[in-house]
Amino acid sequence: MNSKPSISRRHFCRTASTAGLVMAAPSILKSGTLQTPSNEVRVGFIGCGKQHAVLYNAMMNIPGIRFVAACDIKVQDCLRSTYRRFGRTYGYKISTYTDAEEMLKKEKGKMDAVFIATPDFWHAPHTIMALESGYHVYCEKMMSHTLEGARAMVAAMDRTGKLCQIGHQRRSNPRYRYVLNELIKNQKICGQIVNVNAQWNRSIASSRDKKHGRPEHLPDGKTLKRYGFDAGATHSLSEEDLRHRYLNWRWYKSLSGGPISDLGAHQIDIINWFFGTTPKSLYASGDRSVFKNREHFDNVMCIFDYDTPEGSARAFYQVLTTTSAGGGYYESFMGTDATIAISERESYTNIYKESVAPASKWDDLVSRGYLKKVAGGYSGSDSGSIASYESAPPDRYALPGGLGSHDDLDGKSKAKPPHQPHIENFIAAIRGEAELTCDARHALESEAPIYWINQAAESGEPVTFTDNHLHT
Amino acid sequence: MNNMTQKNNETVLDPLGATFAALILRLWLGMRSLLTGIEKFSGKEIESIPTLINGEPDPNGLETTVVKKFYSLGNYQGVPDPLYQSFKQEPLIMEWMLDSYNCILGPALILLGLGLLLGLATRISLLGMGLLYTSLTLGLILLNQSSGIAWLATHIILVVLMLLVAQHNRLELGSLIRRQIQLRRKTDQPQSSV
Repeated sequence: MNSKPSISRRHFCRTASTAGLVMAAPSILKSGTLQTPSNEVRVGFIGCGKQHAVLYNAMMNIPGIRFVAACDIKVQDCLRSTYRRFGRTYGYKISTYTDAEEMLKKEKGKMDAVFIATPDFWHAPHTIMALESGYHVYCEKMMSHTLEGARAMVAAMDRTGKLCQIGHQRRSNPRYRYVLNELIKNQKICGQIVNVNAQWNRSIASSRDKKHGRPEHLPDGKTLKRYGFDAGATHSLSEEDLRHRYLNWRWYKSLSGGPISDLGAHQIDIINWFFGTTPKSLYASGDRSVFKNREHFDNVMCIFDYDTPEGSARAFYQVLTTTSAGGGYYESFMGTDATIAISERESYTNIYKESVAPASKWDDLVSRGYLKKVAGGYSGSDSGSIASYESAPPDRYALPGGLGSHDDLDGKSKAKPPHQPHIENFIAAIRGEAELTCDARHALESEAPIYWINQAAESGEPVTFTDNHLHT
Repeated sequence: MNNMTQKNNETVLDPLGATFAALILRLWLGMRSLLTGIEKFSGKEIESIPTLINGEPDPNGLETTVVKKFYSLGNYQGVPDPLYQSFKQEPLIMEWMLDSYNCILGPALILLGLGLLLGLATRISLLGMGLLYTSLTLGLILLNQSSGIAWLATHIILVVLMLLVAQHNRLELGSLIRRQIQLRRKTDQPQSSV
């Protein structure tokens, strides 16, 4: 995972704000032609935890990728055993490191790109270090735990001319792109989008503190201190405290942005992307309702106000880490003619036609393959319904397709993982065959409002956004 | 019961009804066994094709998944994998026994099914089928799968019923062959014996 960078994290924090203010050339969205045999893209990993596994599983079936190196502060034996299976699968070995700086130096000329899946507070230092070492970077969201860090990443991307894709994988997801480009923009099936309702509801069981069954596999206290896991601590930390921070960095303010940034980043990004603009103001509320000892709020709700080309609109977003009921995670775009509730999970995605929307237009869309009709409106006629209060029930529709499938290494067909199209886009951009769908600058334009939610929730004060808040 | 009459305290089956009963039972059991055996060679292939919007592939990359069923020797799995894994954990089932059973189950079902459908060695085929279903029941008893045991028991009852009416089994290839052989023997006998 992490390693000691040439830019130390503390030094980085001191200087990042200045670096972030440097507005450089427009983003580089694709690279020149690769100079490797058979157009092979050689990649390395910094951070080999849970999210790394998600990325790796999504990359395994993309042709033309050669895995070169992996780095994590987990003890070297543990890292080697993880990659022993790798050799059996691919027939070649991958170099393993515990130090990112060493990896970037030693793999010079042998590696084209780096995937960064470290804790949020290391994203900016690792990204900048890799970009400045001459590698293209795919970095997990949230870009950084601070706005300054994220701005410094954009500056480094501009300065080095290297590609920097941020892991908002929905931006490359064909379902999301289809909904935005075809249904909302071209066919305008929603009419005027007036409200957005989005959420990520996660059960308390998934939010409890993480523990490791074999602590001997965890880095020791000295190593963890060296890599900044003691940041923001007000008292001296024991090895147990440090290991708790290592496993549960998402709950600490100096290490992450908390649930609203961790889970909310993906979905608030979609709201801003679909609206094509940033919000003008923000109201937020939250608290440590259950996990009272945590630094971050466990439940947060917020409202953004927008001025869109069609008129004013609001977006409500909630992240709950104590309740899973209520439909899981989705983003619902509610218009005068229709509502599109889209989610990374296909089964949570539904489209509802309002009764005022012209049936002939929708029938035509179905006949031309734009939509699939699922069910007619269900009229609620239970004892609680009062006819004069009820609206005509909306008809339900579905998207005509999805991500599709691919053949895995055993030749068996499997559903395509949702991260795969985003990584495919990054690899294609490295080859000069496509433009990045979420480079650091565009990601930050969309992420910037998220950095203000915790502050607004803590103070209870609304935020009226200015360029100072949102510039990239 | 309408096809039965009481005669001298003995229940006598209506010959035509009994022939039909035997035929229906034979067809059902044969088809059940043959197709179950063939299905053990089936597999599914998932193919993605570009979703057509207005007659053109979607430029956003939307894809439609098409599931195709196909048969091949490579797909063969006698005992379905979840059951196989459960049996593997059973101390009373040796792994070599399980592997052998896994190998022969599919072909055995096909052979027995064909035997019954065509009416070749009907009684022997029925005996084999009954024993096969009993062996399957044995595994399910060990796994305590009551519904599966009951499901197999209905098969056993049908096999037993078929054995009871087997003497009325007329429309079968076996008896046709037997009759042909008898006829030939008769015509081959020397005229002097007439």
